[in-house]
Amino acid sequence: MDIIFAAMLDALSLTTFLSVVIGVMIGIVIGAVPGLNAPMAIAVAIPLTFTMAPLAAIGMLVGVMKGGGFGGAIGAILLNTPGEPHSAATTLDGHPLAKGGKPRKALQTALYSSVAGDSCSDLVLILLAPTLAVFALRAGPVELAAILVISLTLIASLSGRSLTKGIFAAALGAFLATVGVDPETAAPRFTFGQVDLFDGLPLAAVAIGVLAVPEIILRLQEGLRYRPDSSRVVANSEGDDRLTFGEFLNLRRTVLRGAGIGTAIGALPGLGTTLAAFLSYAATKRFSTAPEKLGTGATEGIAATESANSAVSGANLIPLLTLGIPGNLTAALLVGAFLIHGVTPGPLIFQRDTSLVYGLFAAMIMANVMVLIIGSLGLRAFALIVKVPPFIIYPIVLLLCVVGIYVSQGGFFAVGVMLTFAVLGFFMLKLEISIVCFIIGLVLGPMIELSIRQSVILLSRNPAAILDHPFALFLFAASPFVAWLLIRDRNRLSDG
Amino acid sequence: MSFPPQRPGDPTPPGLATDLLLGIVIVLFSLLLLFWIIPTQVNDAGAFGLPPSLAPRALAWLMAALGTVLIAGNLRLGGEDPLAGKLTWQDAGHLALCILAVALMLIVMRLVGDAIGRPYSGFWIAAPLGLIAFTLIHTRAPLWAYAFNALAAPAVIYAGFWWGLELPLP
Repeated sequence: MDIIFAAMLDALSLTTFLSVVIGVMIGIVIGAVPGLNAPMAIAVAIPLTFTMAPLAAIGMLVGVMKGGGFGGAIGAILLNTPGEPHSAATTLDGHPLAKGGKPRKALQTALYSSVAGDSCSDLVLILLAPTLAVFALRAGPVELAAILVISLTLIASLSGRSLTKGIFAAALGAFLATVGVDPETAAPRFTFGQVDLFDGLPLAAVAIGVLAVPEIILRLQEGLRYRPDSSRVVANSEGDDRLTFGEFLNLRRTVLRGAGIGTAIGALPGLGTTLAAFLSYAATKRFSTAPEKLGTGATEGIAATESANSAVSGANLIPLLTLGIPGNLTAALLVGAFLIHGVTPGPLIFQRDTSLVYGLFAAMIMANVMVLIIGSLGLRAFALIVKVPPFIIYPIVLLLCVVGIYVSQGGFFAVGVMLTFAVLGFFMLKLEISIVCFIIGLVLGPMIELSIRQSVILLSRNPAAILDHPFALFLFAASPFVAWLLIRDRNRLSDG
Repeated sequence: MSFPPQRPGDPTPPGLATDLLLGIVIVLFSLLLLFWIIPTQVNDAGAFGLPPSLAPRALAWLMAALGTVLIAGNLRLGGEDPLAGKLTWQDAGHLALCILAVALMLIVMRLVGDAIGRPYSGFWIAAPLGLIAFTLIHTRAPLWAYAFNALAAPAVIYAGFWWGLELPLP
């Protein structure tokens, strides 16, 4: 108990507090820029955290994640331009409401619902994760290998449009994760005599290279045809344009339903925010007393989607903290950040880094409060971000990526890695190869390899001992069936 | 088998679907891994359980199989796979231009940084030039945008990284 209180106090230190505040602001700003999104904001922010203490660093990235969640709604509502697929659900009612002279009301509904949904899922995470970690600790390498295999099956089956390309992306990521010193024999693999590669590929450079830089290069390419049209921004209020407390209270059922859907979906790897947002929207339409109003600017519609997609982010940390499995791109980037700061996510984190975990929980709550405060106070200012011309934003973000990687990863080698992966990421984007699968394969690859190799050593003298692991056997057997089910329904469930 | 007439900007000539080419590249890459890179870059001596080359080999075989599936699928569809991506020569040219701009910026940063030997000296010369180049690649922006990108943005980055985080750049 003392550790928990100490961790909470750690989270309330000025450094951590400021890190969370800065993270929230970066998240909202980058999330609001059309074409940029929360995972990109995290990728760009990771290098900024290198010199920070682990809690301040993770707290800042959590702030970016939560701020980015709300930031995405700003562009979706005011410009009808969703930064991420899940924000498309917010445009359905958000933009019509803003167009009808109520942009402030639309943004306030999104903000309050987002914070409420996020808080609910954080609460579930805080209550469930320590208990689940106790069960996860009982799992041996055989069970862990089975859990990892079924998780990767879920992710590869649902991400992107083509299953073949999804599996290829995951396999390529896992292959590139074998670069570096072998964990068992300490023999170098694919280092080509480069000492810089002995620790493996620099994850931040790879993540920014494959995720952020190609998107910016694409936006730069769009610039040849694109001219900023600030007249499309709907930010002028007409009449009473505020969401009253009573009006938000009337949305409580919708928000709670969205939070529940988002939390349940977020706890399962691979299902993602898009499914949560649209499922919550569909459920709201099903149970609404005035379903015909949805799609015409109903606050109910905004509350349903924003509460659900924000709830995914907290719940995504359940498999991350208890099993070390990232459920989506944001969680995979957080794994990278954890590893950079010398912390390995998984059940042991609750024993080895107890103060960090509880500090993280406190930082998450703090980040929610900060999103609410900063979002409310800066609503007008953040609404202006969507008006900033792209020829100012994208060149600066590109320079920030280069400079961030140079200073954090120690030189030109890492920048070279970033540029190499930028080329790969650009081709992947153009050829519709899932970058989500690639990053998750890169993060999960070493874990799967290690657990399988440990399992083989354990079972090598007595292969029949596999029968002593019925849970693992069940998961291994279920993987193809789950894959078949998901592939059959992938058009309904897919995140990309 | 019939193909629609090719329009300007079409990614590939008729009959050569992008995914077919992708499948061929994947298979060739996997074979390169299996028969050259893995044998020369992974040493299996001293392994207690599974050899260190097993996972890379298994993944390379998997990628080869997936490449074959892509090829077979595209041959069956006759080059009209709706899930295929689009890649044009313009895309590749634009990518090369952007990477070249970043690489030149880094080279200038390094050369000037080494010559002057003071933190951020290379950055102050190369970053404004790089930002002007990125803006030019993006669009024909008004003059104030070039000025802003060349002066204000490096100043903010300098202040944040050097004074805020105390991290050096060449």
